[in-house]
Amino acid sequence: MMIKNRTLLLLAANILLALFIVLNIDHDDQGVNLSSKFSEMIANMTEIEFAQPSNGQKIVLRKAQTDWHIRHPISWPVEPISMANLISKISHLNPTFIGPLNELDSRGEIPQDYGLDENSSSLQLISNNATIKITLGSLSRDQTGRFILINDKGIQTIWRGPRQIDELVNRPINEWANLTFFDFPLYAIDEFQVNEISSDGTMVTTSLSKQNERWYFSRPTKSPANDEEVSSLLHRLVSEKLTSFIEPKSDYNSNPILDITVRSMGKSHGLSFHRITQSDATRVLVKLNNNPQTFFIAAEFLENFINLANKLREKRLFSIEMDQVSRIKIKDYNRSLVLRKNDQNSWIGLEDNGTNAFSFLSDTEVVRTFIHNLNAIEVTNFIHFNPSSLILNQQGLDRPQFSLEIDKQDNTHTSLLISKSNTDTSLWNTYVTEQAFICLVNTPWDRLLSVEATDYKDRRLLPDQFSFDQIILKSFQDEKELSTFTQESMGEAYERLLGFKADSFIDLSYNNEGIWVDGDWLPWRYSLHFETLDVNGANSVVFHLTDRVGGTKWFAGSEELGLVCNLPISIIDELAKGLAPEQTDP
Amino acid sequence: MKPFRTYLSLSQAGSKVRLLLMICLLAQVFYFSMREFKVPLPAKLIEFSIRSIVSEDIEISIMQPHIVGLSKIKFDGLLIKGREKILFQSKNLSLSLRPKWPGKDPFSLINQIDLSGAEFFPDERDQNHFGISGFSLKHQHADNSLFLKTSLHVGQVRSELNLEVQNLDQIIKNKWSAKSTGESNWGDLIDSLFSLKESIHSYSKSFPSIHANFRGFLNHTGGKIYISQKEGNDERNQEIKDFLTELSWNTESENEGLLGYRFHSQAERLRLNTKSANLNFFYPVIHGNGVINLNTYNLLSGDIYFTYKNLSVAGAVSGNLPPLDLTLHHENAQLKAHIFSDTNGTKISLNAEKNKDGWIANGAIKLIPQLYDLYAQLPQGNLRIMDGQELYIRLWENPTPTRADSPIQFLVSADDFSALQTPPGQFLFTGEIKSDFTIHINDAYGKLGLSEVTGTYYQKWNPAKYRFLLNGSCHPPDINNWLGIWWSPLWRDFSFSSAIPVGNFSIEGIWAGQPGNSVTIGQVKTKELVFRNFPFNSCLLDIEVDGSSTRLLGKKMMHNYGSIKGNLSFPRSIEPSNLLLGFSFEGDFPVNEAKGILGEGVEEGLSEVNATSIYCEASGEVFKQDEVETVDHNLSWYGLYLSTDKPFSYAGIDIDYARGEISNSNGLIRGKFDDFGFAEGQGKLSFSDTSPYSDRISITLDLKNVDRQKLFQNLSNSPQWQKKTSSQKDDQINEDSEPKQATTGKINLSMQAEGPVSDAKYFEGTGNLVLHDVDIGSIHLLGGIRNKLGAFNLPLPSDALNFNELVVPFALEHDRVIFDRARLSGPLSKFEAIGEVNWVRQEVDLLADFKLAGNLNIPVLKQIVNWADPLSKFSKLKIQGEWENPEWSVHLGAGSLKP
Repeated sequence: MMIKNRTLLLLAANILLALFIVLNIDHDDQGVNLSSKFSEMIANMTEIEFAQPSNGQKIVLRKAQTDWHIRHPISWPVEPISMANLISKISHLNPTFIGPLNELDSRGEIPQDYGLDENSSSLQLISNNATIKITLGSLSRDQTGRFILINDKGIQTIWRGPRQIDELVNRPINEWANLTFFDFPLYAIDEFQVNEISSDGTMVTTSLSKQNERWYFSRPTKSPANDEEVSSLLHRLVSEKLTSFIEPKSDYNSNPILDITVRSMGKSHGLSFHRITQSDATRVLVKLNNNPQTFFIAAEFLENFINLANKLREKRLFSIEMDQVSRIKIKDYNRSLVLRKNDQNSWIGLEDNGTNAFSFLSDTEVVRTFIHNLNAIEVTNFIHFNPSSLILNQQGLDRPQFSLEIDKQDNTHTSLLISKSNTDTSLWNTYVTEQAFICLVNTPWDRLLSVEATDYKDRRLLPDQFSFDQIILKSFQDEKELSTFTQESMGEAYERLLGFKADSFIDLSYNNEGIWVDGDWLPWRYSLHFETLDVNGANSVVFHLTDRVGGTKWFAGSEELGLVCNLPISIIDELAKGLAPEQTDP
Repeated sequence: MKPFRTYLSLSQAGSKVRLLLMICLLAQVFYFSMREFKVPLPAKLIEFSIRSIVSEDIEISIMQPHIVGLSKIKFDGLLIKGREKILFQSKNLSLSLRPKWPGKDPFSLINQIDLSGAEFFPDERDQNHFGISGFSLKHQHADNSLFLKTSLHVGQVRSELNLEVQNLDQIIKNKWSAKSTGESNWGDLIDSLFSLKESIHSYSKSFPSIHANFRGFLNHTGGKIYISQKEGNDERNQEIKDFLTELSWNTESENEGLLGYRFHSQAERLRLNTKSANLNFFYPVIHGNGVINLNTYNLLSGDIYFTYKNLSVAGAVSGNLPPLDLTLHHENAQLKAHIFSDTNGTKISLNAEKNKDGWIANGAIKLIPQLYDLYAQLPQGNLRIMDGQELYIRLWENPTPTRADSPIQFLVSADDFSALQTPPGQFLFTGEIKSDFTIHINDAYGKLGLSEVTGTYYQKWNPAKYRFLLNGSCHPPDINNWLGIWWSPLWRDFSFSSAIPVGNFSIEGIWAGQPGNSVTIGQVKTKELVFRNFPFNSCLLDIEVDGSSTRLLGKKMMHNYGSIKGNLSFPRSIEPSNLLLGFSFEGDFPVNEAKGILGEGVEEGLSEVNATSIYCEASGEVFKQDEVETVDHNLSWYGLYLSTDKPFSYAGIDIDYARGEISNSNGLIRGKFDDFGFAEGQGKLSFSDTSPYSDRISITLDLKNVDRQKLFQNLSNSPQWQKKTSSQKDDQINEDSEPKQATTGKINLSMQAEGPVSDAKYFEGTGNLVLHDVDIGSIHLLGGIRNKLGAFNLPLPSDALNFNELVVPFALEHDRVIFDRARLSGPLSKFEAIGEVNWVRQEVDLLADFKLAGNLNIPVLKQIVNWADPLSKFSKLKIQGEWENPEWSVHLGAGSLKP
């Protein structure tokens, strides 16, 4: 008996110590274990199945390499964010353990008490060697949570999870699918063709291709396209979202109304659009040439492709490099002005007022600005293509107010006829002869197309080859020196004054006392002397200046040149600095 | 079996069982006690062992290593350095080891790694920027994988990682093979890591505070991580809400040196706080992909797409912005960006490209401003930023630039467009953008309200220098909302005719630069203009604004009565100056019509002046009335020269002409009119404040040959005089009963007095009044001398009551005018009086000697008459009572004679 007692005592001591050790070592609770299991399952799962027995729906997502795809009831890529959302929801389940399912009996409960039956929705996470199934029960009594049954390797336990888990499990297919159906990067699209097919079977084809990052029509005509409109159209295509999928067994037979073929990264991808009318509602069905899955999109999407040749046309009238231009001719009724580039790359102007003509040296920068301004003209609206002489007559283009001709060195020629619009006086009818279209332009041609020689005359005011060492600003009345500009003393200011030129010409005559400008008499107040220190050097060049007029005007006159001009702001700024100490109140 | 044998066998078996139980018990006790038993290990030995398996560039220091129990090695500290920089440090590190070593590689011995208090690249500048806690690395030998679980923080980003490292043997194999080929790159790798850390460090400062959960896997070919945001307690203050990301990568199968990546992120809301506004992006989505060269860690190509459903802006700018789609493509050092938007009020298609020559851009923006609800909180109010039918912006390549290095040409046009609630107008701008993003508007045209302007503009950056050059007609109130609160008060008092002012301006400065850095130079020329109800026929006004002041220089301001030129100067509020206003002007000042143009104070001062036009030359400065300007330290001053040959009136008193000066300096007003015409006479007047502490003034007045009647007529027009003499009859001074010729007369008055302006009855002084060239006896002086004396029926010669001169030297003592030798004289007689007049009570009290022939200039006869005239010897005239009609009595000896 003693022996037996000792054995039992040892056995009891072993058991107690083992229990003590186990209890002290295993701190993990059920929740921590489940969280770890989910974490490991998330890393390993290869398939996810959502079942809604109540409405006979089952969605199966399967991983192929690293990407997920819907495999049932349709075949389509999964929207990555949907998957991230699923992982997030599972990661943040934080369920509260209630008890094993098999202990319900002992507690006098049945699974239905927790809303668990054969119609319960479920979510199954499947990896290569494990499966975890989560079955949704009813809401908890406080309505803040939902009972869930977790089946892990046959061990079924009931938990209380977040109430919103049913939103995850009962999601419709559209919320799992990647809804963009033409997922290509914009920059990778090199060509596309759009066939508009009318009900009588006639087809209008518009095709464009990208050359040196610019889009050009290849059909219906070979002409430049508006890059931004093309990019915008393609962006709409690649970002358009389908509205619903068509069940695999559905059968819609109709002829396409629009075909789009896109060539990207060396491959061709086609879409055909079919109009389906069902119970007064019109929907657009889309078929892809590389995927049997068909789907619907919003009917309005097709409007983007109507009259494409017009929509995508380039609206910029000119895109001219100055070096390409050899001659410009502007005509204002009977008066004309021609600017021609000579062999020395100088521009020679010829003004012809109908009775007299004279030539002059033009200012290269003025010509540059003129061409630059032409490049900023855009069509507001295309109104006629290939107009008849009757239409030209109706638009006032048989006797245009202005005409503009531009000859390029490659012997190409552009000519425009311009008249005020009959309907909107702020717009100009403009006929581009070479491209044979009439368009409306809102650029004020009358301000741009001057035939006055003074607007193009060479702005330089100092004689060629004239060199000087200092510039002296003096009072006109008493010849008192107000400021002296030299390289040493004024540096940058002197540098700027070296390019002494006119901003615009006011008058091609000179008065010893002053000038009239806009009805105001402005007497000469200063004189500006460009002088050389070398006594044997050339005579100084003298200009007379008025007072500065406001912020932007300071008039200079030269008796020798016989003209009066306004000075450019860069010169005005420097002269004002030279005068600053002398400024007095009026 | 026999009982004994049975007992023995049982006994032996029982002993064995007990022995076994005892061993088992002891083993448990040993295990339990050894679980916490620590055996120190030599740190150098372990460091040496580790050094044999890692690169020489890596230096590892271990603090107090020891074995705990039977399967765990613990370190009290671990420090990993590379290139003299700390890569990693941890306070506690424990390694759980497998009972047996499979011998494949050193890592297979490790079962689990736990560490706490760890930091990557610790930095004194920003401690705990990269930290680790709850690190656990579990080796799942059966699956040939590691499971990493840890919390990591990078700046404000906290994350929990649950990552499975799969195909461990492949990874180790690749790593080992990589080590053999690329061992010498450890140093570069460390440098790269530090450079990466610096980038993350600076970049993560702008990260919103977020607590994220990372779950996923990685293996030898790639990996995928799902990132989700942990729900916070205070969702309203969360900068990002419901953030989700999927990130995957894989090594390119055809080229192992390349890593392809892809990510897709979304949030329900993202809030970015900037200086001027808080941006709330709703449902922002960003996804992208790319390829990285693993050898150089360079991004070879990449695409990013960003969009959102709605952008709500709050703060200085508030409202909602429509969704935008932004795509970026990077390849071979070339970056392309597309921006798209396509909503009811917004059509945007912009393409920008950056290559080695800089940026080029083309595209179009078409907005319907009236569909935007953007507001700006400005000092002048909460204003709608834009409104109207259309705003169109077009960008192109610039084939013929007018400036060097200007690859972009643009056009802006707007129709019926209003910015900041200005009147709607039309705008057309064309210009260029340089590679450094300097914007030049070469040709701007704007027509809004009554204004129509052309000009140019440039905008530079770093600093944000700008310059407007504008020409055209400008109706200043049209642009009130553009130019802040200083602009509209300038024009509040102006009303413009249909001829809108024409001007040209240069306005330059630096946006958000030093206060007052802007400089404005301009000229305004206008025809009809009304300023404070005064019409000018034309004005030519120069305007100069710089850091110190705003100066308005009126060069030629024509009005119906002449012209004025002058200037006003207002110091900028940013200047530490108490000067409020400096002014100078010269010209014809039409007082009656223009007295209001210099402000209420001046208008009040001139309220008593009635003049068509006075020539003025004035200058002065007005300082703030604060602690700087005290009575002792009065900085304000002005000097005013007035000259007019035309009659005017002051306080109802007609002045024929005047020339003089008024000045105010050190708080003392002085006036000096050396010549003014008054009541057909001439005068001199000077006055001055005697002290800045009181309202006392000193007056010196000298009037010559003033027409007595006109003087009193003048005085009667003065409200002040009327107040004092309201009870008097006009006939006292008008003398209607007498022929006009006889009742005129001239007055000479010289007076020097001093007293408070506020109460004339406290003046004191002396003076002399002479009334001459008049039959004084016939005028209504003291009730009429002739009448009063005649009533006594005194036996007087017929001419005895003829008087033609009154000389009154007087002293003024408050309300009393005292004289001791007033003399009224005529051809024959004279009065000599002493007494006083109380001009406040309007009473007289005089005692006069009447000398019948006292004024004869024939010496002998005069003595005879005086001797023969008993009246003169023994009688006194007493005049008492109200000065309008005093009581006259003749005192003969002790008795009195009544009329």
